[in-house]
Amino acid sequence: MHTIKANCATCANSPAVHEIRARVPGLVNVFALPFRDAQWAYPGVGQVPGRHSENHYLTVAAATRLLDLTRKFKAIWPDAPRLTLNDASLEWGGKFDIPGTWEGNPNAHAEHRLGDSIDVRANDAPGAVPLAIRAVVFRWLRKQSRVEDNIPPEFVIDSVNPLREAIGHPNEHFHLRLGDWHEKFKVVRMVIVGALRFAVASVAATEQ
Amino acid sequence: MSGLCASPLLAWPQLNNEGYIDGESIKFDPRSGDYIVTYYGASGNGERLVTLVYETPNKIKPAVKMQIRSTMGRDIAYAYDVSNDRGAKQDIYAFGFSVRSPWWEKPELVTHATAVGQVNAGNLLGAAQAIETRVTYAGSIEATRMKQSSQWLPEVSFAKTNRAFRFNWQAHPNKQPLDDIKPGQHRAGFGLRLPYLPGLVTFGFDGNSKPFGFPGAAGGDSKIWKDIDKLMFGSTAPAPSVKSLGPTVLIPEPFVAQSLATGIRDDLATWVAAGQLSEPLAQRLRSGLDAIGNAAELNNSAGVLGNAEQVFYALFSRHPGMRYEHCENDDEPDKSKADHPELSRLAARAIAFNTFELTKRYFVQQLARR
Repeated sequence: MHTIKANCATCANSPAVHEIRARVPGLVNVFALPFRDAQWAYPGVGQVPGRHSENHYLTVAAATRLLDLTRKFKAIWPDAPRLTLNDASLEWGGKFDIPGTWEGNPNAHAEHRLGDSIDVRANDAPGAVPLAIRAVVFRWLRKQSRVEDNIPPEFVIDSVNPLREAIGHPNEHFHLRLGDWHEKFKVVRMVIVGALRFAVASVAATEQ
Repeated sequence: MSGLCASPLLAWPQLNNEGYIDGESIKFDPRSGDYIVTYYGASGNGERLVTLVYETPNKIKPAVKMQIRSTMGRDIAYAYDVSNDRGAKQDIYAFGFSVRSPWWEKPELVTHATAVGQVNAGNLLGAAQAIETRVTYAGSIEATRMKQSSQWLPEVSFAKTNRAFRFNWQAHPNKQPLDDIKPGQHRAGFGLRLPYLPGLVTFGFDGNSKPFGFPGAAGGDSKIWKDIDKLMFGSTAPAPSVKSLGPTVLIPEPFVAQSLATGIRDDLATWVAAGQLSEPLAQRLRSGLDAIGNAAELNNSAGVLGNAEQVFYALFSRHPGMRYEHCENDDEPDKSKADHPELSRLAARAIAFNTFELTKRYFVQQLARR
């Protein structure tokens, strides 16, 4: 939810204020069809009732890429537990404020806003990537990454740039970036431009 | 006069004028060859400046020995041996290359577009089928088109536009002991079998560096995260690369000599861009290849042969000792011989191979028509 305020030097009703809702378009729940029968464990983890209970939303491209990845994982490590998925994005995307305080902590879950990143459990909890293979799984994931930058979007090859987060801590996990920068900029532009257009139209209507 | 302003976002700590939080940096340590990364973020114990060492996966000394061979059918067989020099400090655990070229199959088999379109249309079952088809297809390429020992894992990936693809191999992560190529070792038997003539490709390699992990969540609005991204996944600390030959020029099906001549002709630009072929010589070769294609279109076999001879002369006169026999079953070029300033041995080898294949396939087609 954003508040847009318009100032007008020659209008009688200045300033005009309007509230708009901005959301990342096209996010899907990775536990819904067509992804329900995927290789990942059900249910996912990380839901906090009353605060953010819908935390497994991705873009279709990211979810499809995740599906590719988990199938390969299962083919390589058939005896390992199915991957347990933690936070992706909220249903509308946007700021994923873990403590729910909505102030301070501006960088929290910074990459979980646009539906192109998801965490995979890699600690001592049930269903996590076991310690015995954790390093080699991450090494495998690293090789799924994009190794070029500044290349035209038509040549960008599917990638999964992984990060290993909270290493050595109880919340250790793999953070998988399933999108690409071109998609990301496109989504951000869509959201911002769409919101501003709506706001301008709304404020203009108010002034009339 | 009207103006718009958004409600202010919470921003703590403040970014400085350069877009960083004060104290953040990435510094190269010339003694170790590693990078010292300092960022403001989650530490596992509150937010503060965190300093980590990023060991670059580039302390390797790779080389590739390559062989290309024409098969009885449409495909060209590529074979690669990979080595890691004794002076390397890390093992090589993965390597591969990308090609910018159209794939020869239908794009819907290799991109996410079909699945995304089905989801957007509300046909979730169709999306599931599209995903399944795509995954199965990529698996079939890895199983039938890529070659390696059982200790290595093949992988093919595609651009969503179907305009680029990548082949990778990595030591199979679930076959112990891991078959990483240690300093002083080499591995043979990697290969591809594809309907593409050779062109310039750049092999990239990954050394088995120490795993790099963050004590808390990564990411934020500071520019440091873009820099870290570039360090880990981009070009800040590139691993050594090796130029070699790989599948680049699509052989049309059904075979059309003029179309293939155009493909070989267009690929000359890659060699020019890489500084391995001079533009004046490239223009002469383009003329020769165009003439071959035009003669083939008119079923003028003498014209095909005569123009091919001229192309071969332009290549072989600059690399004495290179012969027709090298075209059909070619080993690594003799590295002891100096490159010609107008034409590298690697470029000469690829263009000669391709011109030979073009003329050979033209005459095979002519024979089949009789």
